[in-house]
Amino acid sequence: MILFINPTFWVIAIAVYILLLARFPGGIIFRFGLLNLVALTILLGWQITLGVLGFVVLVWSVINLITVIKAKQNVTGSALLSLGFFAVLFFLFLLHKLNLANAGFSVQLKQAAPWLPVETLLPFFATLSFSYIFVRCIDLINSCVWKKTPLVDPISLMGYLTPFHMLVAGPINVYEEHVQANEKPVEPITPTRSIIIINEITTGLFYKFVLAEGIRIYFYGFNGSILVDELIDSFVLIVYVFFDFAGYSKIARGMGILYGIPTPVNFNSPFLATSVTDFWTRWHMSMGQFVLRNLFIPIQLQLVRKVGVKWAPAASIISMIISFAFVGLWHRLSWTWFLWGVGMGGLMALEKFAQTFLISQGHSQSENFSITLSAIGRVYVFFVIILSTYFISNEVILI
Amino acid sequence: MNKNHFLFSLQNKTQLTFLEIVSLLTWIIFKLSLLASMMNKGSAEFIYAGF
Repeated sequence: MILFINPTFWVIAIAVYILLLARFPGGIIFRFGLLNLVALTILLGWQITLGVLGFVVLVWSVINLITVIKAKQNVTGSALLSLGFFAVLFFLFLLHKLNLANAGFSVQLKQAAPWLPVETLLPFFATLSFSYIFVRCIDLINSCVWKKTPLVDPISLMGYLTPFHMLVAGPINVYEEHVQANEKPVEPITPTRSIIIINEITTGLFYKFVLAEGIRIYFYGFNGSILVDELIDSFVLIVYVFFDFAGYSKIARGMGILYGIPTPVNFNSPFLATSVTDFWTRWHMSMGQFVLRNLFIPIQLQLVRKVGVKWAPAASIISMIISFAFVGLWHRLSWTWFLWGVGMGGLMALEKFAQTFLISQGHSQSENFSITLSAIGRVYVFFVIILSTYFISNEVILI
Repeated sequence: MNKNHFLFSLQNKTQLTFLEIVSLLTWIIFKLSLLASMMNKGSAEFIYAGF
């Protein structure tokens, strides 16, 4: 997060905007991709940027190959290649996550696999916040191979997979929206637009450096870190994480509007949610939408095809639990996060049943009933979130 | 997705009224002032000592 109080970052951010206005040949996503490459070189150094470019070219080549094989109607070949691609990607994801969870992991890995360039690979992924690149790769392959969205050139693709303003903590942008940015007319800079963008960025900085840090300083002292011993600490932790994460997302969003590069909204008053399902459409929204697009809907469709429409509710529950188990493990590879994900998925499945039951009883039509349910719902969500934060608190990594 | 939030409507606006511009600029200056204070440890300590 220190990146955002680094003057170099802001000089680069403004320079990228001015150079984007220059309208050199190519669409907006190509121009952004090229400038993003320069920005990453200045911010991370040429070695890391070259490594990123190599990774992006590799991903681009594999997806190109899969689409070519699929176009020739070689279903087995394209399925095997897709599976291989996922396996390699998942292997890299495992390395990254195990490294974050265990300080001695690099030494253990070096002993187990001396052929692997551990000293380069692990810090490389940690610097790039590979978890976000990993989910963007899944969105990319789903869009290009199954939804037949055109694959862009490697420079533009780099602007999608590793955009410098979304590098540290997302949000998870949508590949289809990124490609469509080329077709949208460039919005002129007006006083209104400028004020809206400055407001978004300054609100993000205010959330992170005044509110989040202020809360930490107030409860734990200037150099103190948040330690969860009691339930009140988990309340402080969740409020801190909200201002920290939402602050970062707002800065990225403001910069995205400035550049004309789709950068999704990530938070929408999550503490006003009336159910856990509602909460997950308001907190880290880009992750919720990613899960819906790439996991929940495809898994549910496959299950319903296999077991029939009669078992659709059961398929929905299983899909929900698998999807949120993934969300849990995406945060950290541990049993605690896995159980957290399964619990959240199960709770949402229960809510779906309760909603269906209440609608069948005709309760949803009563206005008083809806008001009461909303009030109870907010209290219920508050306790679920506090208790679930308490459950995972020892495994939350604050960046 | 809940799109009824104030910020969603603000971000879609093409024109702001004079009152909205003045309010937003005041809000931006307030945020930047506190942000500048937080960048300095001494002034940040002073602000949070007030709580």
